[in-house]
Amino acid sequence: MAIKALNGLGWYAAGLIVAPGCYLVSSMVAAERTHVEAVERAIATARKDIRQLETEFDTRANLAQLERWNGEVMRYTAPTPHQFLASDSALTSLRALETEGVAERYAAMVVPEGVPDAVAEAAQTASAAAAVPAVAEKVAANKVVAGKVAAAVVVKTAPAAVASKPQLTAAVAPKPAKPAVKTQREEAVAMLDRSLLKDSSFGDLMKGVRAEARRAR
Amino acid sequence: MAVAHVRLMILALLFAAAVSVIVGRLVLLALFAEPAAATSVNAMLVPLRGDLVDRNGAPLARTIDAWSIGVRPDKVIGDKSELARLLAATLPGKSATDYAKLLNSDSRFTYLQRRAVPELVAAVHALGEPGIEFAREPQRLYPQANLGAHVLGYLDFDGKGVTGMELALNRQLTDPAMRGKPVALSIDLRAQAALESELGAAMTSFTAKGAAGIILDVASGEVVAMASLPTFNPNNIKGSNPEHFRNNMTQSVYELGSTFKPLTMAFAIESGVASSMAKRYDATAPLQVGGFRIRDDHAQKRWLNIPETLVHSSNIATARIADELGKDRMESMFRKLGFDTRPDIELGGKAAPLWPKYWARTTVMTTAYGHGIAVTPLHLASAYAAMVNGGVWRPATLRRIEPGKAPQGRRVVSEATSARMRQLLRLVVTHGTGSKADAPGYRVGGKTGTAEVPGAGGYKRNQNVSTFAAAFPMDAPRYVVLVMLDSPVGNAQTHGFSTAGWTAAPVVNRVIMRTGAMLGVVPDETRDVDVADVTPLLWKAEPKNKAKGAAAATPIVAPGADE
Repeated sequence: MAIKALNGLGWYAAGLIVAPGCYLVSSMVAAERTHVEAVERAIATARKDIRQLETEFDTRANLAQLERWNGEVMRYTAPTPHQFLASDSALTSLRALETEGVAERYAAMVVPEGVPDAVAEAAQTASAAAAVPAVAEKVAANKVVAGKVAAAVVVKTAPAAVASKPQLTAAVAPKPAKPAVKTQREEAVAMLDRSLLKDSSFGDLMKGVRAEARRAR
Repeated sequence: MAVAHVRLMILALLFAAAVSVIVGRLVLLALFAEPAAATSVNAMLVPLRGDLVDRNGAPLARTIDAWSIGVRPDKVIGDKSELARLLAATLPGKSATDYAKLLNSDSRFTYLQRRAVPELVAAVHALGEPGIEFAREPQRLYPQANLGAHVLGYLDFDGKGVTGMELALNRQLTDPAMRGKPVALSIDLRAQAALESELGAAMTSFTAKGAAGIILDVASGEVVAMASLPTFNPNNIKGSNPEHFRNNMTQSVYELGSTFKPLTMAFAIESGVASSMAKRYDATAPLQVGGFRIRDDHAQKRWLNIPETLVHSSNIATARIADELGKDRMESMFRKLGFDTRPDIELGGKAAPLWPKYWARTTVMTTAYGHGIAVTPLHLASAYAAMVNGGVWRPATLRRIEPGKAPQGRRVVSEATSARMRQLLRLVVTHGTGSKADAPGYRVGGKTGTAEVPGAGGYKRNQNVSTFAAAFPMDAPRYVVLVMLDSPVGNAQTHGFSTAGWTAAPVVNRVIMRTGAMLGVVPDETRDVDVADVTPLLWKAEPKNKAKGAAAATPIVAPGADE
């Protein structure tokens, strides 16, 4: 009788112990779920931020802006047929210096300037190329430079330029690896490149970044 | 007593009913209500309106949360004239008096600035006026601004598409089930930028009224780039000139002149009228038909065969060929090319061609060289694509087509005729009026067209529409490039000429040089379409651009090569 009464109490005690346990589990699951949700939400917010930043980047670096830099500052040109090689063997037989002058005649500046008529230029260069040996001989005779080097330099320059600036040709002749005659503007751009890509530029940049980080802290 | 019991009972029942209603509602909510948070996480990422991207995935139009600044004039507590002065200083665009007028009006709410940058929001916030409100609103942003504006179109104040692909795709872009995925257009952003920049440069240098251009994939009908200048900025519709909203590629019709001659030639070859390339036509003197006199701009004053007719762009010989073709064949071929209906493309507001009401003998002759029939430049581009791609016409589209899923199309001319057309168009560029379009290595073929602008009382002699329709590479055509300049004025570089060979052709040349490699065409000077069987037919015609390969063939000694 007494045992029977205690039996009921036992059930009661068991319920008293198990129920909070069950509740604890379910509440932990709920907490975990909320946590996961918060992470998901953070991910979504980060994605949204990324999207926003991407959009801002695209807007600031839009193609009109890039073209201005490419054309006016970097003076890029469209690739010419000689820059495309069909196979590995073509690559090995490539003699870059020979084709340099040829490549220039087609150069289509990204932002056109002066005469955009590449084809007319090409025709002119072609006739010039035919006349090259004669011109080269003349230059070699007039100037006391090694004949072969002079010929190579002449090929790379427009004949008109050679006629107007023969002394420059002679000056450049000892260093034939560089493009022979540069216009003033080209030189200015080359200088600009140098100032942009100075060895110390990167260090300066990093210094700026560090300073900014310090200020932010 | 009994009454009190009954009253107590009723009260208890009422309470019980109320409690059961609440419990029942709680059970319902617990079992069936959607959790509020679950959807919102996903919804955060789905834009209100889908993105538009180019064929490579670069964004063209996006919906962003932008700051907007508004004012409630009745809630302004400070001095209104002082506030107006400060607003004019921080928000330039309107004067202090304008702002004062706005602040003293009885409107409940007015926008001061939509799509404001955060710096501006901070500056206005610093004014410390509680009547000024800031909100984040979804706004459509076109990162490339003017680029491809006619293709993309713009939205109205309520966010509905008004023109362009924004209108054409309105339903798909706003459909909750589909707007999460960006829609890819057929446009290649880089090619579009190059085309617009070259057209802009040409328009400036020739002081043209307008310019338009298209790059069309010949095999699928995808429009890789389409531009019409002057253009507008879809980010700033209010500040744009409404006249610039017109897309001259699809919304204007022109008599496109000699660019029609290759089409006539194709009809003649296809129908057997031009049985042999050597068949000759009398172009010795202007042709008198009825009250009409057809003459040549580059008169050769002799008999011309088929390639010569195109190379010298002879109106007389073309008219004679068309006369031999006859009304029925000319008309049906033009219909096959879709010249009698509006152009096939998703854009709205397409122009209807000016199709001749009655095909007299003179109509047949003049339409053969592009007069007396007016179509949109897009019509012509699609027709050229069909001429060179093996003879199949396909509708132009601005939606990206997956490789191999191009529409069937309809056959216009045979494979053999198409092969012949490739040779002939290449000849026009190597030996004829299109020599300035010869982008080195890209094997360009095409035809010039200079048509006078019709105005009151006949054609205007001093104004013309210069068109160059080209395709490249001619040995296996991939793209049609069409450039049109409206009323160009010759300059010193063109020796005063305003004809297409001097104005539009160089633009095509530069566009192809700048975009060809990007679009997957490798320039190669050693390859070309074989024209050996037609060149002997050209009398006294020399290739115009002899530079090809000549300079490269000259032996050049590298410095130090044999040291």
